[in-house]
Amino acid sequence: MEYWATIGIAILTYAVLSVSLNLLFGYIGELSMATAAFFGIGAYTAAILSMPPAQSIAGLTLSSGVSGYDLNPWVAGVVGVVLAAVAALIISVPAVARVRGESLILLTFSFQLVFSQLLTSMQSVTGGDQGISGLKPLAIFGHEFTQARQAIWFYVVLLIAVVALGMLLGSSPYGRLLRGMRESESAVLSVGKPVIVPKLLVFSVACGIAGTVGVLQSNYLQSVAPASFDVNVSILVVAAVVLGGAGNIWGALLGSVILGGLTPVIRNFTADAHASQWQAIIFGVALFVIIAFRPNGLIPEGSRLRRGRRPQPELSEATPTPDTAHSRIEVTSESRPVALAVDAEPILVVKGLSKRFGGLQAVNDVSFSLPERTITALIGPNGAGKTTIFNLITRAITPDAGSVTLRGADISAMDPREIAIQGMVRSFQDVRVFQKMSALDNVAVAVPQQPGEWAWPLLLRPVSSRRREREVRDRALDCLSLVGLSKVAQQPVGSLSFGDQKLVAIARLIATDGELLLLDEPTSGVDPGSVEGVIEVIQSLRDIGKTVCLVEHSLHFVDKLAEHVIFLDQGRLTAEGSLEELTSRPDLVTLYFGT
Amino acid sequence: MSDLTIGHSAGRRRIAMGAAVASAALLLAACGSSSGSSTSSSPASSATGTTAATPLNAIFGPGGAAGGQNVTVQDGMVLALSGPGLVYGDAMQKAANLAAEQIKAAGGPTFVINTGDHNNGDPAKGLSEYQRLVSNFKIQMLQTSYGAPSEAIAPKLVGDNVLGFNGGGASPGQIGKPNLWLTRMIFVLDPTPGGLAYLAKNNPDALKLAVVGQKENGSEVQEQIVPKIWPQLTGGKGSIVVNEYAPIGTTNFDSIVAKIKASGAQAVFTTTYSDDMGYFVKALRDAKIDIPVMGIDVSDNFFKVAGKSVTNVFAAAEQYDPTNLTPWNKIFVDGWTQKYGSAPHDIYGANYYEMLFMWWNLVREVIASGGDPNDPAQLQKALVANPTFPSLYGGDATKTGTMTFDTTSHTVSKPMYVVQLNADGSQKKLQEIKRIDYTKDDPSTALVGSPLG
Amino acid sequence: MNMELLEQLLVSGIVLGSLYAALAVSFGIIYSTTRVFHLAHALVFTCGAYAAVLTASTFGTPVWVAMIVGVAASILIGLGIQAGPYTIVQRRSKDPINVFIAALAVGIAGTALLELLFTASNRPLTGFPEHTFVVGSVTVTLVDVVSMVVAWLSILAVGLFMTRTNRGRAITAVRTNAGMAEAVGISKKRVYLLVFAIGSAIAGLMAQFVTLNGAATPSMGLRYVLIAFMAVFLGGIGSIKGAAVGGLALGLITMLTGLWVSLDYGTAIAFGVVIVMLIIKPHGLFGRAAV
Repeated sequence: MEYWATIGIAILTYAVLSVSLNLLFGYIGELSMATAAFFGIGAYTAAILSMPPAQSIAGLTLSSGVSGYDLNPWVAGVVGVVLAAVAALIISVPAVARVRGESLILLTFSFQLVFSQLLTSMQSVTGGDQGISGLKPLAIFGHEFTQARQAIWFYVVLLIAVVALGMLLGSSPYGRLLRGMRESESAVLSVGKPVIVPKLLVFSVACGIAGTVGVLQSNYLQSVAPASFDVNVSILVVAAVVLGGAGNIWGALLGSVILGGLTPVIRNFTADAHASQWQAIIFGVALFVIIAFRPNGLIPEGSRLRRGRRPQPELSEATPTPDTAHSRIEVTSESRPVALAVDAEPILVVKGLSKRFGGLQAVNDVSFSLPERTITALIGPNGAGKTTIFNLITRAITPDAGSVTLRGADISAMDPREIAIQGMVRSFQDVRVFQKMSALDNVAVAVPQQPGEWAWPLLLRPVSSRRREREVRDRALDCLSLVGLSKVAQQPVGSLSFGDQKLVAIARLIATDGELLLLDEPTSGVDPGSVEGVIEVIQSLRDIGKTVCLVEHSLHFVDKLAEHVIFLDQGRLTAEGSLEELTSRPDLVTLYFGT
Repeated sequence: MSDLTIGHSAGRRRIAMGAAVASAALLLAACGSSSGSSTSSSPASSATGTTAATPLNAIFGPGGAAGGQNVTVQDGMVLALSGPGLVYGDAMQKAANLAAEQIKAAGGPTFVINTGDHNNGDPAKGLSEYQRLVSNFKIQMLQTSYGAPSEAIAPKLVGDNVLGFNGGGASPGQIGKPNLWLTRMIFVLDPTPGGLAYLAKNNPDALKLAVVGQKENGSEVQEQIVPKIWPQLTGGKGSIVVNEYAPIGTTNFDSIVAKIKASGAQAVFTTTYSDDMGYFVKALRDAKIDIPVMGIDVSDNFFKVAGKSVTNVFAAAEQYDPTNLTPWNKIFVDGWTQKYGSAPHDIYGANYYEMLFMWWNLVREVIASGGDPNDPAQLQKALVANPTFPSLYGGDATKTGTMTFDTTSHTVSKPMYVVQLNADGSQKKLQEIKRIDYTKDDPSTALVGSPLG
Repeated sequence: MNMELLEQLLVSGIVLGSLYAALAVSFGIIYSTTRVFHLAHALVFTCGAYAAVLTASTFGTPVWVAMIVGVAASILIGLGIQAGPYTIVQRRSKDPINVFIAALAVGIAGTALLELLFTASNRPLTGFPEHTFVVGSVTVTLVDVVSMVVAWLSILAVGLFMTRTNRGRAITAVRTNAGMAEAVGISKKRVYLLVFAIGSAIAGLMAQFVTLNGAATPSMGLRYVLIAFMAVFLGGIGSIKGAAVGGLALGLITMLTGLWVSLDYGTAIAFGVVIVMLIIKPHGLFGRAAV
């Protein structure tokens, strides 16, 4: 019985570690080779803090009698978890900055190896290769739990808590934000949402989880030693996650059951002197067979097993879905753009904008203003610098020179996210909607003021978080209705037509409450049947008070939409005015259409 | 851990008696063999044992019911059965199997050997294996190895009613633990004073000492004891000019050797062992540093790695000497050679073989006092009551050596020597040494008697 | 600072660094071309050592014959692993993490097999002439000198091969754009086998010198492969020069830290440097961003 409990504990330990790694891999898409290091940070911190001061035997200070601080094990444990979560910054900060993919794998590898090395080298602190033994046992209010069959319940509770936490985060605004980030960070930034802190948070949560099971282990085993926290353990956790089907909790759990359970099963069949070697061989072969025949893992993402479990967000019943053929806001019968109102305040003033890429002057001293509540079009031949200007004024790229003011405030020093919050939001030529998420979720990401995105309000203020989430969903649905897509709110955006995807992108921008919308080629690639719909939506945007600036190639649409046109050529602003004025200039016509 | 007063007398008497009885039995058997004599224990001949009294019985006493023939012992071994430590686990396993075989043939208990792998010293794994052995096989006896796993297992022994022994990685953290007995001198701790004393005495001009060690076991000796006693041994003139650590598994000692060269050291003391010591010595000699080297361990792997570099190298360690054929040792060596194809040569085989025989003695005593030989608690009581046992160490051609345990610290004192190591793998005993009390004894008293050979 | 110590550490650092450099190149050429994290490279390394040891002890051949056999064994095993387990997995999935797991599996099973066959006790390789050169206060053995020379010659050979021969250029093509390379008729499969052969050969070659300096043990390869991996990243993936410089740097760092701290911390410091480098220059000293 005790033996099976021990096996159970080993499996549960791997399970918790796998969930930890899976959080990272599923949400950030990065694989860490340092899970065992954080496992160890939790364990050793708890050990060192809760250990009594060193004993003396034979006139020596015992080497395994590392001098501890004799703290209450629960306090020591909490510190251990916190330290693990904070130590995560060592890998999360570089990860967020620039270190991705293989480089991040190597970074975490190095971190793991340094950690293991320090454990053995810093003997006076960590007890070296022997580790630290004689720790206080697992106990609640004096009741001790030293047997495996008692301790296993702690592990079970921990696993359940961790899985529940994962699920809570997953279905929260935070999870939604992370899923969006996974697909397109630039899109997330462009709707005013953060990218850095959420990522740091994922790392900290994942590493904190690993640290927690480390604390538990140190108390159950009443000892810690470097061998339990070395690179082999990290690699096995990676194997478990991949085997199970990376990116989903159930796969990770299954993977760790297999990994943890395989060895004892094999042991029961090989009982001779070389059992260990045979076990390793069978283990290696089994691992290979599984990965060769189920390369996506045993429970791959998107399998039936998984889809059935995905919680479907519900639409609130109270708001009637305005799902009629005339879901768009009524536009005036006058579909031709009106002339510029002379006294309209410019919402955006751009002065002297320039950018050089190597030998190419992409944007050359461009200045213009965008009056409020108008639709302006940026036109010009390919390579004229139109999208670059969008990138420059939203600071996706840093200009060499020039200033940009939004509503009189100088935004030249802000980053794309801050600019989006100030009210200038942009769409992308390649749309950048979150393909795997529903249309509703896509739009919901952009709704401002969501405390749930910072994760802890979910735990500390669950009721108000849930209420806010309902409001957010309602608002998102409204935005979708404005573009006439409320019917497909629950569909994954990847399954929608390109034209509809562009509409979702626009709905997303509307949700930000931004006043100035920069639309980059909103009709390109859209089938003729849907184009009219897009045009109507853009017009209705102006009618509800937004200012729109679009990059557009088709003069037909420019004609229909824009009151004001800016002509760019080779990075220079060549002409400005109404479309009629511009098309009456033969030099521009030649430039645009050739001879 | 004071100097042990060796209570050989009680043990010797028992052995002598056993020998007398056994010889008498042999005489009788020789006389009466043609008449087709004994089978298993008949009451009249219970003292004389079973069918064929093997030479073992002469040392340990007769087999049969009194000798525990009806007892089955579940023995759990937690060893290094994979990775670099496999070489030790292998030897230990072989030893236990040989002992079990021989004891059974001598009419003693049946030992069932169950093994577990602690993955080269992982305490979690060690503990898990121990629990598997307890759960699946209900072990009564534990033969454990390495420091960390044994320290993790130790707290569970009393609760599980298991009596355990460690003859391998005897670390200070295992001293005095209930139900755990160390059959090996404390690694690094015990041989160091003797080794240093020899070094100082035989190299009076060597004052600058370089100390190179590993941190896994005994680093506190390097940190606290060596700096204290080296000056004592050198009339206050000696100093430590290099104090370095190399992680277990280091193969490249170039950096340390460079430091030694630059420091002008005149002698080296090292606590590295096995392969590591081999690489170290090889690197030293390759760099043309010929100063004497004193280690604290002798192993096969060392010779294999260092090869021809083994010159001017010494070691202070407990010695298992396969050439010192005491009555018991001869049985051990012959049995091993026959079963495994080559002679045994290290302390690991010897220590783990000895343990089963210890158990046999305890079983016998408990039966004699009318107790339950299957109850480890009672066996331990017998151990405490009579802590002397035959040993493969010490003794001579006519008399088997003995070892006596200190019942407080649960440690044993075994003969230690300073030996000279030679490139051909041979060793030469130079000086006997003993364990001292660091806090009060003069370290030069670690040297026992006059130089040998 | 002790001049004598510095000089000796410098020389030792270059010796060690040369070994690391060659190993880094051997691993790097495989990794940069196939993007496979070939953990089983450790096994290839170890098998080269064992093959040599076995040949010498069973057939009593001169040591240089044994060394050649060792290199051949490494090549065979390396090719076998690529053509067998890796190809099987790659056919079924494009995800590099799967091949990583396959490499892990092969490594685990292979090392255990070696332990089964040879037990963990080490096997030395003897017979190489022994001599120590003394230059001033610096000593260096013949084995180490030859090892250095062989290491750099190998690196040079690989470099020349890559730039001057058609086959070498084919490797570069596959590395930079496999799809395009195949479109112009280069067989990706053949190129993969070629890089595995080259990488395994160098690994087997360096394994000989490591064994000469000590002995063969079943788990000897892993630490060298990890360091080689570090060196490749330090220097930048896809750059032979980078891998070599990375290896040399790691060797020097490991040795020279001995000037200030205990050898104990040497590896930790070397890895620490790698961490810092990754943060400052995620693509290594000579690497290019995402190829």
